[in-house]
Amino acid sequence: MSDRMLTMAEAVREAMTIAMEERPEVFLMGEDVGIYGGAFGVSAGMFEKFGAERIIDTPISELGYIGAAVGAALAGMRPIAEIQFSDFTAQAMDQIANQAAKIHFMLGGALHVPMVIRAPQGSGTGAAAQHSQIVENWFTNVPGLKVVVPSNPADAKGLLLSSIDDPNPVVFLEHKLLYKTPGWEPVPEGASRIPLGVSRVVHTGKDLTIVATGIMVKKSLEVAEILSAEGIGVTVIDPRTLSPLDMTTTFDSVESTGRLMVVQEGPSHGGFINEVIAQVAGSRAFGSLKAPIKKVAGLNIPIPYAPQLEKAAVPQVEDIHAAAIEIVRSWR
Amino acid sequence: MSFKHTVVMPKMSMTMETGELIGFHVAEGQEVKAGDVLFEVMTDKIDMEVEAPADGKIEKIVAAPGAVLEIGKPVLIMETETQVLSFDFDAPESEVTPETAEITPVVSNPDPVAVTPVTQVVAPTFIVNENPKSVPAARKLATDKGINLQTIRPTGPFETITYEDVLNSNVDPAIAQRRQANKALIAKGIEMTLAVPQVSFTRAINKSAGSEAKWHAILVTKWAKTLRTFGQDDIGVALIIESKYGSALPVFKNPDQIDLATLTELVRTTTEQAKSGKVPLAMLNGATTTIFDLTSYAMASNRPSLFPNQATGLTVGIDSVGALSISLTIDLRALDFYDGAVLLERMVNEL
Amino acid sequence: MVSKELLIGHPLSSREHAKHALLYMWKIRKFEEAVEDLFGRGMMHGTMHLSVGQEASPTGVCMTLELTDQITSTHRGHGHCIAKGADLTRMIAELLGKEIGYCGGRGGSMHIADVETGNLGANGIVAGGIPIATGAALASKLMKKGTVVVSFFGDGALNEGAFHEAANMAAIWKLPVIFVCENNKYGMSNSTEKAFALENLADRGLGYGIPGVTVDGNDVVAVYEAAERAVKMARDGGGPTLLECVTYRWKGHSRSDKNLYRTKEEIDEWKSKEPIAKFMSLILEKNLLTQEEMDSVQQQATDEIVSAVNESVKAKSAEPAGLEAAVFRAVL
Repeated sequence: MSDRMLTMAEAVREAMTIAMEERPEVFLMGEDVGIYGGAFGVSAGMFEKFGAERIIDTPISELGYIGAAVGAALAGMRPIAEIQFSDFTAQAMDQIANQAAKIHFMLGGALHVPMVIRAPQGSGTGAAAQHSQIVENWFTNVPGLKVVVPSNPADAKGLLLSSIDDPNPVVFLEHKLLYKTPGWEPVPEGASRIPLGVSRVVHTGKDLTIVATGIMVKKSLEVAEILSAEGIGVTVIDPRTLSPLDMTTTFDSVESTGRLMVVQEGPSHGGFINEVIAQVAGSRAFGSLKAPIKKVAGLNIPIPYAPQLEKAAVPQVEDIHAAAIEIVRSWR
Repeated sequence: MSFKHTVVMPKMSMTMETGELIGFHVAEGQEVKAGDVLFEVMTDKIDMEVEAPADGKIEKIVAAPGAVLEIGKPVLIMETETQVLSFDFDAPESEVTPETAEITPVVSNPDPVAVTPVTQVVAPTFIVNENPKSVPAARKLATDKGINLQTIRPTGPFETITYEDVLNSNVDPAIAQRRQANKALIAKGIEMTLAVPQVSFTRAINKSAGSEAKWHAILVTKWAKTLRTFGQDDIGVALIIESKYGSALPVFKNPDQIDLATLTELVRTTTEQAKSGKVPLAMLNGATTTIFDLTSYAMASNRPSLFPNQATGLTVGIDSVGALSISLTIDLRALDFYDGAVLLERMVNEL
Repeated sequence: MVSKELLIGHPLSSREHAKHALLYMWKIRKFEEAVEDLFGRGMMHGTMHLSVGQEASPTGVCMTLELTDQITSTHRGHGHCIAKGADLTRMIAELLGKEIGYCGGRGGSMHIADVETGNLGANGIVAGGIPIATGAALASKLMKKGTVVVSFFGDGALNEGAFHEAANMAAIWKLPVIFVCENNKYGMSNSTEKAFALENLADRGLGYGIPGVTVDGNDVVAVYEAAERAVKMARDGGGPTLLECVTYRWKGHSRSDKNLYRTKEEIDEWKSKEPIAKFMSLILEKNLLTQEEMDSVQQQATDEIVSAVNESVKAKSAEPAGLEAAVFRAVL
C-alpha cells in the first residue's frame, strides 16, 4: 500500500523480513508458514524469498517444535515460532512455561532463550470456543516471559522487531480480526523499534482514563471520539507490553482525571487487566479517584459460535460507551 | 411482644409418615437461638436434627423421648421473639395470652422535680451518617477544607459522597459551631420544661389554600385570637423556623391585631431571614407560646414541647394517611384539662 | 574452569582410556554416595534422584563426544553432568544452595547446566529436554556447526508426547541428535512391563523410521560401541538413533521412595551385575591395569569428591537480593 496504511499481517511480515535480513540466525518455524504462507497469510512470500532452511514447515507438533525453538535458541539462534491459534499454546505449555521462561533464572544466568512465540488470538471470526481465546493472562503470570499485545499495525512492526532483538522469550499475541485491516495510522518505513515495556497514550481528555488492550484500544478510541462530541474528555492508554508493565503513564493520568476504566476482551475473572486495577488501587493515584474503578471485560464463558452470541460475549463499542457515561455522570 | 410457636414432628422425606423422637438437646426454660438443635428424629431413611426456627425460649416439652409421632404432631412449645409462620389447623387452646401494651396516661411525673443543671452537651454537629462512604478524592478535599464527612449529604451511588458533594458543601465549620450552640440552648430549655406537669391533646384539622407563609400567618393569628379569648392580653407567638444554623424562634407580637396580608408578608420575610441565620432583634423575645409546623417533615403532630415560661405549645403535623392534625400541650399549673380541651376546640373552630 | 581432561575413544583402547572410564564411573558413584550422606544429614534441601548403579551409560556415551557436542539431561542427571566434565565443587555447591553453585543456588539438583562443557541443562520435566535437544541439533544443522546433541532420558520419557514429537521431527529433518534412553525398568514405581507393550523399548525407533538399538546399559564397552556408531551416523547427516541402555537403579526413585514396588531379591540380583565391577573384571581380563592401579583410581575419585564437598561446605550461601533482576537477561 503506497500510503503505508498496512494491515497487521503486512506489518508483521515486514518486521520478520527486516529481522531475517539483519540477522542470519533469525528463522521462522510453524505449521503451514512456508509454502502455504501461513494460515492467516502473515508469512506469504517469505518462503520464496528465504528458502526452506529459514522458513520451516513443522509437523503438527506444538510441544515438539516450541521445544525445538527453545533448543535452537540455547544453541545460538533466534527462532520465531508461530503457533497457528493462540489456543494451541496449551499444547506447548511445558516448553513455554516450564522451560523457556525458567531457563535463564533456574540456571543462574548461564543460558538464555532468545525466542519469539507469535500467535493470533481473539474472537469475532466464528471460529468458536477452541479457536478464539484471549490467552495473554496465561503468560503474564509466568515470570520469565515477556508478553506483548500490539493494538495496531504500526505498533506491531516496531514491537516485533524489539521482541526479536530481546534475549528473552517473548509471547507476541496478534488479534486475528486486525490481520486484514489497516490501523488508524501509517506504518513507518524502515527498521525503527518500539521498546518493550513502554505504554502509549493514544487519545487525551480530562474526565476519564481508559486503559485498554488489544482490539479494545481501537474500540475505546471510537468511544473517545463519540464522548468528545458529547463534551466528555477521555484519555486512552495502550500498555502495548503487558509484561513487563509500564504503569507510570496510567498513574499520572488517573491523578489528573480522577476516573479509571479498564477494558479487555478476555473473560473478566482473573484476566490481565486486573493487574492494572490492582496497581492503581495501591498507588499514589488512589487518593485522586473520584469514582470506583470500572472494568469492562468479556463474559466468563467460552466463546460461543453463533454471531450474535459471539458478539455478546465480548465488550462492544456500545458497552464501553455506556460504562464510560455511567462512571462520568454518576460520579461527579 | 412475644409469640408462641409449636414445633411439630416435621415431614422430612417423601415417604415419611411417622418419626421417632431420639432425644432432646434442650430443656424447658432454656433460651435458644435460631438454628440451635432442638431434638433429633429417626425416620425410615435418615436421622435428622430439628432446629429452632427463631430466637426464643423453650416453654414446654410435650412429647417424650422415644415417642413415635405422626408428622405434624406437637413436640414442644416455645416463645419466640419474632413471629414464626406456621399453619396449624388443629392447634390446641392457647394457654398464654399475648402481651398487651399498657395504656399509660400522657402525664409526666406530677411531683415538681428539681431541674438538673445542664451539663456539657457533647453533641456533635448535625450528622447525616456516622460511617459515610466517600470517594478518595472527596476524602482528600474534605481533609483539606476541614470538613467532617459525616455532615455531608451524599448524592453518589450507594450513598457515597462524591467529590462534588464536598466541593459544593457549605458546611462551614463556623456554621456548624453556631448550630451546635443553638442546639445546646434549645436542649437546655426543654430540659427545664420537662419537669413541668403537662398534658397534650390532638385534633384533626384541614389546611387552607395558599402559600406556606400565609398558612403560618393564619396559624399564628388564629392561635393568638384563641388565646385572647382566654384572657391573655400580651401575646407573643413564636414560630419555629429550621435552618442550617439551627432552630430560630422569631416572636410575632399580638399578631391577631395585624391584618392578615401584612402579617403574611411579615411571616414570609422573617422566615427568609431566619433561614439565613438572622432574626430581627425586636422579634427575639416576648414569646408566651410556640408553634411548630411539622408537616414539611411529614411528621404527626404528637406532643408539642413547652418552652420555658410558656404555658402552651402547638404543633401541626401530618399523620400516616395524610390527614392534618394539630396538637396542644398545656402547663397544668396554669391550665387544667378542661381549659386545654376548650382551647384546642376553639382553635380548631377558628381554622 | 573446565575440570575435564577430555578423552574420546574406546574404553579398552589404552590404559589411559581404561583409567579414564573407570575414574569417571567411580566419580559418579562416589558423588552419589556423598550426596546421599549429606542429604541424610539434612544438609540438602528438597530431594535427590540418585543414579547409583547406572554409571556406565553416561560414561560410555560421553567418551564418544567432543567438548563442543552438547547434551541434555534429566532429574537423575548428576552422572551425565559429571561424565560431560562438570566441576564437582560447583555441583555440590549448587546442591548445598551456595552462591558458587552452577545456578547460584537457584536451580538445584534437577537444573544443573554447564555451558563450557556443552551441557544444556538437566530438566525437572520428564521428556522436557528431548525437544530442546532436537532444537539444538536443528541449530547445529542450520548453522553447519558439525556438532551432535545427545538427549539422555529414562524409560518413562518414551511415553511422553514430547518424545514422540521431537523424535519425529528429528527423523524427518535428519537432525544430528542421539536419543539415549536409560531404561532402568521403572518410571517412579511403574515398571516397564506395565507401562509398555514392548519387550525392547528401542523398537519404538521403527515407528519414526530411525534405528533402535538395545544394549546392556551396565557394560560401558557395549554402551560406548553403540554410541560411537550412532554419533558417527548423526554427524554424517544420517539422522537420529534411539539407543536403549538397559540398566537398573539401586536406590529408590528419590529420597522419599520406600521401594514398595520391587523386591529386595530383584535389587540384589541387579547389584551383582553392577557396571563398575563388570568393567574392572574386563580390565583385568585384558591386562590393562593392575588391581592396585584400579584401587588408586577409586581412591582418586573418592579424594576428588571429598575435596569438592569440603570446599563447597565452606562457601557462601546464596542471597535473596537480586532475585527479581535475575529473571530476565538484560537488554543491551
